[in-house]
Amino acid sequence: MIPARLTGALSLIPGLIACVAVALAAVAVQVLEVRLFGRGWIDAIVLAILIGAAIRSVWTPPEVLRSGIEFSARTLLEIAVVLLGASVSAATVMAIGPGLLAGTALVVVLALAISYGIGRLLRLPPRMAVLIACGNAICGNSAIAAVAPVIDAEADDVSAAIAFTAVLGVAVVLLLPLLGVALQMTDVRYGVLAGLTVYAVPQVLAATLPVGAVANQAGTLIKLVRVLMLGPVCLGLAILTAFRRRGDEAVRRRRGPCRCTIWSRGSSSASC
Amino acid sequence: MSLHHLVPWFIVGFLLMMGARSLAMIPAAALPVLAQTATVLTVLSMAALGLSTDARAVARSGVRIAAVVVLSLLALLGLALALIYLLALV
Repeated sequence: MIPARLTGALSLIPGLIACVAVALAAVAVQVLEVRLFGRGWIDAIVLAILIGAAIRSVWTPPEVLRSGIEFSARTLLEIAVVLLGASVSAATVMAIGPGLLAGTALVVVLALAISYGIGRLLRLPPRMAVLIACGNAICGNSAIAAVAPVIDAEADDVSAAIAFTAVLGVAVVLLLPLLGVALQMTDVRYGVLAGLTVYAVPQVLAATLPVGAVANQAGTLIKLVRVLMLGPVCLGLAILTAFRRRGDEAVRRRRGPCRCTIWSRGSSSASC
Repeated sequence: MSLHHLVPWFIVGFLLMMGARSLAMIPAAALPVLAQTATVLTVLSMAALGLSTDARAVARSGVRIAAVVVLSLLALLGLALALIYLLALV
């Protein structure tokens, strides 16, 4: 009798193989680029996204691949982030400095306010606007998922918010390096830019690795500061919601199923 | 709201690795290996990300939400650039 853990691990293999195939294709294209143009204009990391998305647009991967793909998209990237911690040097932290750290916190707060304002201006319901604001300003799906029960958001809103911000977040990863080149940014500046704008910690990796280690470390640190703001923001929202929720018992009953549906629907990967 | 929900495990891991590096607890020979592994894992997961991105379903769902997200991103970008140039980073 095969233990459940083993079958669980085995079920990951088909999807993993699919990802390896796409990854190899991406590397092959990059090697080809260097042969033809002398330089890898588009990095394997970006190519992997493009090739994967191109395949997805014409062919829906069968169910058997799903768990392996989800595992690769989330867990492998999270492990990569952990490994990255080993490469952050003291020099990078010094280069960041207290001014930038405080500035990052300020940017998060302002971005939250502005994003919420835009959402309400375009007539989105308040909770939806809050979800999107948190996803953009702080850190992706984790922010949305953490904030949702705090503000009694509906499952559909959460799924839509996650889906949109995730797809556009991928666009940011793809386009940000171009902006960095256009503005002729130094590695540190570009890293900070990536850290301040990219949707999820692992995506900072993807956006900065092609540029260099310094950009990578700077970006990840800045992104971490944004992520750590999740606590204070959740607290603030919880307090605000407490005032609103007086007498709204019906909404509270929805909170249970709300959490489950998030994770069962959420196809997007990197969580925070 | 437990700490587990507020701080994902890999961030704790990242901070621990950062600490280990700062305390010179990681052998020098291991560093490039760790970096390379991180790159390989990133390419793999980006492949997965691409394979999971259903761009068309998202496009179908709502122009308004897309507009808010795009505009918010632009605002965030503006704020970020302003901060970088204001602080006159190296």
